[in-house]
Amino acid sequence: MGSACDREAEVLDTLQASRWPAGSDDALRLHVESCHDCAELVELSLALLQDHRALVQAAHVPSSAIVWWRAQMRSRRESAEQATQPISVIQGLAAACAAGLLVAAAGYYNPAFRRALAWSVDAAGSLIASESPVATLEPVSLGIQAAIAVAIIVAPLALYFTFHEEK
Amino acid sequence: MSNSTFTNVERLAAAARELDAPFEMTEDAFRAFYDRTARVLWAYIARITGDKQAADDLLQECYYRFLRARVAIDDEAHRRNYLFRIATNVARDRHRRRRTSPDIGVAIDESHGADAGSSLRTEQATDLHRALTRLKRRERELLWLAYAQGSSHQEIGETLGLKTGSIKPLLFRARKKLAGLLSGTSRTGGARG
Repeated sequence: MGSACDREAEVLDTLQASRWPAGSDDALRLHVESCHDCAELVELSLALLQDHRALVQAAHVPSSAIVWWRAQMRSRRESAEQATQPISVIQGLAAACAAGLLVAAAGYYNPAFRRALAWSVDAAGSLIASESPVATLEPVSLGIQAAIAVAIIVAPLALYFTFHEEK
Repeated sequence: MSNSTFTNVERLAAAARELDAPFEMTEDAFRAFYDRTARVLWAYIARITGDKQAADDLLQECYYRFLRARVAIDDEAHRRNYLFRIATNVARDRHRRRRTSPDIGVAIDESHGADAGSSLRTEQATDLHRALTRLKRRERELLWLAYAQGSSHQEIGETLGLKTGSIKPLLFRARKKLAGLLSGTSRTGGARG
């Protein structure tokens, strides 16, 4: 299994050059008649060659100018997207920081807002393993913790919108 | 910080250069190469995917990836093999995404039927398509490259990412399998007819 006739290459060359059977020599034709492998090769190759020619003839391909133009447009779009990506990342991080600072300031100056955010402070407090109860926290540390909590929520959203590709 | 800014500036400069000249190949060289290869490539994709529509869709993708690839290409044969390798990978990616095996014969048989004058030839073509659908993707690729396109073992190896020495036995087995399927098909067809 896996071994083929020694004259297969010769038969194949004749087929590929469209010299079968008229352009081939008698010895090769006689060989193909007596060799099962070569006869099979001729049959399959002729079928595949015919199929190939029919497909190539039937192919409706766009013009080279259109393919070139589309490729250029796509390449330019992708290059522009790649170039603006670092700027978008920085914008996203800046937005997250600004939101965090805003909440910190609101927490520091407005006690009602501070109380309203107590739940998020709890969550942030557990994340940073703080043992101090919320009620005993100074306004400054409360504001910082609130800012951390909000940044934890806002940063992933900002990053998502930064990297999200419009379809 | 200054380092990252510098990197960003470099990236922007590289992108600007790409906007000016996105490909290494010139338009004239590309168009000549495309005119020599597009129909043959289309036929290859249509046959290995079994879908003419896929061939229409993937053709542009293949040439785009070919143009974007900044690899040193020695000669026409190497360039051609590289293009067919891209097509093979693009078709495999598509197959992985779809995970369904379309009916290879349907779309193509219609055009054969319209073109071919002889009903016997059409029937033989249909048998061939049916048999090809039952082969593995790799077997179809091997048979098509070797017998339909007349590629050498070295070229097939380059296109399919296989060692040249392994092509001969793989091709032999694929051919035996196709022959077996075709003889089975013709026997079934004869019994039916």
